[in-house]
Formats: sequence, C-alpha cells, structure tokens
Amino acid sequence: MPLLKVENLKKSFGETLIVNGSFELAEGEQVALIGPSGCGKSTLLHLISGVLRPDRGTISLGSEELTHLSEAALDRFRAKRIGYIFQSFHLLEGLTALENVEVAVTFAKGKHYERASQLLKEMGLEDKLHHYPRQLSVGQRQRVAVARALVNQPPLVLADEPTANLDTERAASVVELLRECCRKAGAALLLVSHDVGALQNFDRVIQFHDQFREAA
Amino acid sequence: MKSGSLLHLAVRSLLQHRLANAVTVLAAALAVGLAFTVFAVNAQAKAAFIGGGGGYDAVLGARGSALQLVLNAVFHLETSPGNIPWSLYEAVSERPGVERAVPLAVGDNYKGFRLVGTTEDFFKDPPSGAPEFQLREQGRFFDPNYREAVVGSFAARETDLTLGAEFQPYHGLAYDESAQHSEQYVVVGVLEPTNTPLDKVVFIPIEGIFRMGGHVLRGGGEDFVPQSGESIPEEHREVSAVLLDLSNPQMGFTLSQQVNRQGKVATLAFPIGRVVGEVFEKLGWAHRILGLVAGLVMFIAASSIVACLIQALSSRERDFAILRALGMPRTRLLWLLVLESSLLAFLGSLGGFLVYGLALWGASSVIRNQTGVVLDIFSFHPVFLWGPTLMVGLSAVAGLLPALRAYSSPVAGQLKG
Repeated sequence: MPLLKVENLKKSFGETLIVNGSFELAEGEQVALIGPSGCGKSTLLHLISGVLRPDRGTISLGSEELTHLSEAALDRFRAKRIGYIFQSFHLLEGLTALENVEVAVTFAKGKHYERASQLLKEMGLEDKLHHYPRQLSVGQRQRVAVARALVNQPPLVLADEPTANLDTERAASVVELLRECCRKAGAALLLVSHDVGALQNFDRVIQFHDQFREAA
Repeated sequence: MKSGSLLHLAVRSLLQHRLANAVTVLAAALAVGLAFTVFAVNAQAKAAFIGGGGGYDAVLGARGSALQLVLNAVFHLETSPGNIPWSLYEAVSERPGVERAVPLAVGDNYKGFRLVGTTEDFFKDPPSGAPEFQLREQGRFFDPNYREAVVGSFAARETDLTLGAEFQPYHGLAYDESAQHSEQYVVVGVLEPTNTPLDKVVFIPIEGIFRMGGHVLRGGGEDFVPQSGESIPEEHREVSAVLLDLSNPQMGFTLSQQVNRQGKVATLAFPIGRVVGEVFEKLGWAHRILGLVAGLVMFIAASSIVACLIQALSSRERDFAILRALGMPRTRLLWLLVLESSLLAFLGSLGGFLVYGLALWGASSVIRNQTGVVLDIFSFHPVFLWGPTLMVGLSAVAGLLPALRAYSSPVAGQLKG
C-alpha cells in the first residue's frame, strides 16, 4: 500500500488549470517533482498538505482520505503527519531557533519538546538554540527549517523549492541535508524544484506540467 | 510560558513590533489614566469636602448663602457673608443640645494666608471627628490676652513663620502689601499637618481681630472702635461665624427651622456635608461630561490598538500562513489576534495607573495649595476595576476586526517566494 496516493486530481483557479493527474509515493521514498516556475508544483504540495482543497479527485495518506476531512481535522492532520519546508525556509522571525521548532510540537499536541532541542543539537546548532533567525546564517536557517519539519516524526515531508535563490553548491548541500535527515527519520520526501541539477540522487523524478509524467 | 501557546506567541509578536506597540500602549495608558483621574479625583474631592466639616455639624453666620458660609468658615475660602452679633453666639451656645459653639472672626491675612480669630476652645476642646491638633517642637496654643499666633503647617512653610517669629498682619483677606497693620504678633505654635484646610490658616485670639487697627465693630448696630487698654463691651462685639457641635441631628433641624425659616438676621448651614454636597450635585453635569470624554478617549485608544494591529497585518500575513501550514487551527489564529489586542489594552491599563498616579499627584498638589484638602492617591475607587475591564473588553471586541481578516486570509498565496 502506497504512503501517498493522488488520484485524478484537478484544481483550477478560474480558467487556469493548475494541477491535473495522479501519482503515488511509497513509505520512505524520496521523490523529486520538477517543472518550470508557475506550473503548479507548489499548489500540488498545498493540496497534499490540505492547505488547499481540490476541485476533483482524491488524496490519501496511509488510510486517511484528505478530501473528506473537516478543516479542523485537516489542521490536526497537517500538524501531525506532514513536515513542511517552505521556500526561503520561512522561519518565524519573532521566535528563537528552538521556539521555531517547538511551535510545531505544540500544534501537533505533542509533548516531546525535548525532541526539538535534541534535533537542533544533532544538526550542530546547540549553541544557536536561543538565537533569532536574523542572527543565523543561511545554512543554520536551513537546518532549523528541517528540524521543524521533522520534529513530529511525520511520515511525509513536503519541501517546496528549498533550493530557490541558492547557488548550485549550496542547493546541493540543502538537498543532501534533507535527504539524509528524512532517511534517518524514516520519512518519505516529496521535493518540488525547477532546478534539475540538485535532484540526481532521488529515487524517482517526476516531470510536472499539467499532467504528472515519470522522467526518463 | 510554553512555546507555541497563544500567550507565548502573542507576547513574542508584541515584542517583535515593540516600537509601534509601545506607542499604542502609551495611548491606552493615557486613556485609562484619564478615566481613573476623572472618576477618582471627583470621588476623593467630594469625600474630602463633604467630610471636611472638621467634626462640627453646623455653621451659624450672617444671613445669606449657606454655601458661602461653609466655604468661608470651614474651608477658609471665599469672602465672609458678613458678621453676626456676639449676643447671637452667646444665645446659641447656651441652647440645650449645643455641645460646643466656637466663634470665628476673619478679615485679615498674612501674605495671603488668612488670619482667623477664635478662642482656645477651638484647639483644646475639639469635637469628635476634628483633626488632632499637635504642635511642633515646644510650641503652645496662644494666650488670648496676648498678640500670639498659632500657624497651620502649610501656611508656616509658605510664609517661613517659625516658632518665635514675629509678623504684622495685612488688612483684608487678599494680600496687599500697602495694607499692613501695625500690630505685631509672635508665633507661639506651629501645627503639625492636619491635611485639612486648617493647614492654611494663621490662628490668633478673637480679641486680636476685634482690636486690629482700622477695624470697626458693629455688633450693636453702631460703629465702635476698640481702644487700647479698655475692654470691649459685649454688645459691640461681632463674629463672622460660629461653628456648632450638636448633640443630635434633630437639634440641627430644629435650629435650622428657627434660624432659617423664622429668623431674619442669620443663616444656619446644616448639615455641613449636605451643603457642600449640593455643589457637587450642581456640578454633576460637568462630571458626567468629563466621564463621557474619558469613555470616548478609551474608545479612541481601543481603535488605535486595532489600527496598529491592522497596520501590522500585512507584514504578518506570511507568519500567519506559516503557522496555519504548521497546523495552527484558524480559530486559534483568531484568538491570537484578540489576545494581542487585549494584552495591549491590559498593558495600557497598567500604565494607566502610573498616569493616574502622576495626574493625581499634580492635582492633589493644586487642590491642597488652593484649599488645604488632601487627596489620597492610594484610595480605592471602583473605576480601578471597571476601567481596565472596559478597556480590555473594548479592545478585545475591536480586535475581532483584524482577527477576522487574518482568519479569512488565504494561506497558500502567502507561502510562495
């Protein structure tokens, strides 16, 4: 049974068709979704995480079918079962590195606050726990974002263009960090990017236009 | 405070925009402080004036306004409405039911502080509820046979009159340097502060007022100028007012009926508290308007809190979207904004106490200097409870506006870029 199953998904904004198609993701699998900017990759992640609702089709994570969930249930689903890494990492500037990670624990109604500091320490940020994002380097911010995505031990991590605005070398190190952390945590990774260069070691790469197409 | 709790997130958000929020808190503090000041100063001034009879129940004086009589004889403000014959004082003091009758005579001042001529009984046999007269150092009360004075604490401080100091009074109740009397008085006692209008008075024997140069007595209907070394016949003596301590309220009503309804030469102001209370009742409209203004200012402060939050919304939409994407329920986001709004109002209310303290300190100095009445800065007033509650409540309700905007704001669009 696949971890993630997307079937006959359709989402359009007015007359613009954004996402249309089906695909599956196995447990622990690392899949890259590539396509040009504006083709709907981020929208797909928003649909999978329940931030947006599809016009048609179904999305299932394990035994849970998202399209039938209430908004409150979707919030709980997102907090517990999805790790999200945004473009530019999007840390909350008013919170420290540790608090940025702990906040995710709170929403999942988890009690494992110690996991937040443990993860950050594992990522070499033991002396940066109480630093604000503006006091961190780009690399340190990346690691905080990854820790925040993994702290609730979700089965699926969604990464939305985490390499945007980074040079090739730094993009490769971010992707490697993500892959390594997800592998350790046993989480599947679905990463969307328009940068093909950084995605060579993924289990699968899916081409994305208005339909999903397995890349050669 | 647990990370991610609403309170934690609200506090962190307020700290993140601390400058704008500090200005907003200041506005709320001024609004709450204004409300505190309007209501508490009014209540305290009212209590101080109504209860400021100095233990006496009534004032007997010349025919005219009871309020003017009380202000002149008890609060030592205003001019005297005129004099009454000494015989009236003697008659009333002998009435059964009149426990104490103390005559007062006014008409002179020392550097703007009025001289009050009275008897030793004023100090030595005060009624219950009168301030405790304590003298500084080795002072004593005056001897009615000499030109001696006992000075109230505030008057002593302002005029530099100390024990043993000599001074020459000035004619009239207003200070006029050119109207100095030739009589020389010596200070034999300086009173400890009583926190009453008496602190602004220079007391001398009543005989001293009678005999002050240029004074003419008309107690008998004819002009009489006292001569040095000769006693003053009682029929010529007159007093400005008589303070009365009555055995029971019924006595006051009886006396009031006889003096005010049946008599034509005098006025009895009874009870003193009610006479002063009428002033506050007449000025009630002004207090209500001030209360309305205070309420309006609180509303404006609540609006400025909301304006501040709305202004910050656009820069915070991404933060809200991140929180939502991390699983924060939409309703919690709504309550977060309401909590922030309430917190700003709460902090403003705390600041309001500081503003109130400063305002009351200023107001009490002015009122004390003008009237001798002291306001108690720490005296409780219900506005200290309902003021902050109203401010926080108003802000919480008003905070729903930005909260609902954040609540309905789409998440996906803010997560890009």
